[in-house]
Amino acid sequence: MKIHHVTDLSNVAVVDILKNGLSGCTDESSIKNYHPDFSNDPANLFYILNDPNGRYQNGDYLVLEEDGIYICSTGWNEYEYDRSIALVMTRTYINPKYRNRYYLGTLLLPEILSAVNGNYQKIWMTCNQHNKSIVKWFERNAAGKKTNLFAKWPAIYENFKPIGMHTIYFTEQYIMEWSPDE
Amino acid sequence: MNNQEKLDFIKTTIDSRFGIRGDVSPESNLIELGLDSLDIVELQIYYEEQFSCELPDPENPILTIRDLMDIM
Repeated sequence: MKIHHVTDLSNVAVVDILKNGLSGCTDESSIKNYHPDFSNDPANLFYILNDPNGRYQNGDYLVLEEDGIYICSTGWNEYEYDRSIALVMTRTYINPKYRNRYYLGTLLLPEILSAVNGNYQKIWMTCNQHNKSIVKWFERNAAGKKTNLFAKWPAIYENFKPIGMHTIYFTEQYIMEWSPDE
Repeated sequence: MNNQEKLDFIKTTIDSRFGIRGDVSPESNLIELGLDSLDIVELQIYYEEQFSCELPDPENPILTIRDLMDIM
């Protein structure tokens, strides 16, 4: 497996892998954010990557692939409306065939945290109502309850604590803040 | 809740919340049905909210519908 880093569309080979992978996104609630057919939509990942002022110009978008097959991808960026904040795990998608293997938590998120830790006052993971089950996992974890009914999530997630909702990019989002143990 | 009621609850829930239908039996593997780790979290939380209870920690990871029924 290989991790690629992109901030624009110039790496054609990786962008092709990304497009092929995200063409599999059919969920109505997220298709506009991910599917390459919606690249004219300002919220779409490919629009953002194509924008010379796009958020990943102050960040990075990581693509994990194996033998040219898309596995998963996610990014981080400096929040342009508050530059003390780094937003992590943005525009995250996982090829359904590779879910439940925790590649995000074991391979991509550690790289992201290495890039942002120490450079920002706050490191935030956000999600909206659609992904509220993620928030509930973090709430359970923060309450000291077991969260491994199915399988144990990578320990890296245990250092993200839910801190409520904030306005991010003009929408109310649930925030999990990186709070590593001292 | 007897076993049939548990199975009916699970089948109804994964149909309504995840759109998973078809041949769902106690021996069905959760991943093969199309559920992922987040779906299981959502399923667990939904059950606990519906019945005002907390599912116990299983000795082994939940892999099948029957594993889920056993801790309900």
